[in-house]
Amino acid sequence: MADVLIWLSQYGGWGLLAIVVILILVFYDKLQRPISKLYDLLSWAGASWRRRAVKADVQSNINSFSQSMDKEVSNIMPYNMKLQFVSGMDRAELLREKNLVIVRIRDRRHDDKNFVHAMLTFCPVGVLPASRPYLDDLLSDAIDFTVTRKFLNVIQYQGALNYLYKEVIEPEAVEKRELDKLCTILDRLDEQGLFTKVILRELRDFAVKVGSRYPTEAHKNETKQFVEYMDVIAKRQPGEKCETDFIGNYISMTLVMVGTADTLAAKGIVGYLQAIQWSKGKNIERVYITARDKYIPDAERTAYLAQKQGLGRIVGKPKTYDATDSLGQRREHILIELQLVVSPFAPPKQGQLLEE
Amino acid sequence: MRKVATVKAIYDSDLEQLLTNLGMLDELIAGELRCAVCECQVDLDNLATIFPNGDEIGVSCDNPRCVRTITTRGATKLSG
Repeated sequence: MADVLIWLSQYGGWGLLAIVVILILVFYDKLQRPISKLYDLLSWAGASWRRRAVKADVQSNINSFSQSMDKEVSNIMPYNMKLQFVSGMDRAELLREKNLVIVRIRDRRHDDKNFVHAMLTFCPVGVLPASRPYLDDLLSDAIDFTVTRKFLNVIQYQGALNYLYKEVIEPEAVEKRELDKLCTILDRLDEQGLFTKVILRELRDFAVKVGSRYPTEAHKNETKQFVEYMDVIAKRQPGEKCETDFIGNYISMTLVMVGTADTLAAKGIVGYLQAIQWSKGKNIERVYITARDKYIPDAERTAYLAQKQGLGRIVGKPKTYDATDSLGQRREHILIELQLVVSPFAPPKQGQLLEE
Repeated sequence: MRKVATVKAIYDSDLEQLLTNLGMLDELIAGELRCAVCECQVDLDNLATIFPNGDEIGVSCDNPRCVRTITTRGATKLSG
């Protein structure tokens, strides 16, 4: 601290200015929103200030949303968006750039359109960029619509949400029934907190596992089947049995739902540990342990014991969140990701697992 | 630092200047420009995207379905 004071007394105002410049550079993303407000105040002074205000507003909102998504599950939205105005471009320059599309950004009166068009333009590259070639076109569209809706909900922009529903989603859904179905499924999964944490997470890894192989119909079918499988789980009523494993060529996971009354009564959490062991026996790669309300400590204990007994490794921090269940009730949830340790030299021993 | 995806855009007040640079303003005023997707007439009010279309320059109207059809072809460039 003393060194800083000496340095400041030596360099005076320039020192302070240097510190301010460094802080601006470090926190540039966070400063975009106040900067846009400042530009708004200056917008009476001319079109260039209005242009800057729109740019800073759209960019800061989209980038802060994209960073929050990426914080929840890394690399699902790995890019920041930069809106670059190109008023000086000529014909030859435009024709040279084969895949370029210049999007019109309107005056602030039309911000609803600006936000929707900018986000829908950004989504194909901004959301799951590496997985896109392997997704069915309709699934790709449904993901973009769901992410855009999530974004507009986060910034609480009702006008833009209305525009998105009435002018974009509804006309598409009327014509393409399959798209309507996928949007409904993703919406339901989002309401239950599974869209980002499981769907986007698994689809992100799909691209990594496929590597750089040429996209085929088999890839597209697998991703679509995975979404439909997750919907069966999302629609499941309390006590209803359903298939909890998804074993595809690239996606291989199971959901262990802690809190089933008969399992808990008969075996306690050993029943769930056995389920994880059986999943390991089937070479399933990942287990999501989920629970609600009073069963959350049981889920944490199951994950802890599974890791302790070498069945798998807990990935990241357990995610706790409020979400709506299949009966429409808002409840506290937990989701713990367990990467199963599959060893070709040690086949799983069934039925020998006991809680310590 | 996060990587950046650039979306190229034109602001309302610069639109006429860009169209002049591209040699399209007269065509637009004469009502000769058509949306590359729905083929409706495009004017200064409803123009939403501009893009290279083979050896020509294409435009689309502001119907969100047309905008989406054009922008999913690859409207962003990656850097960083």
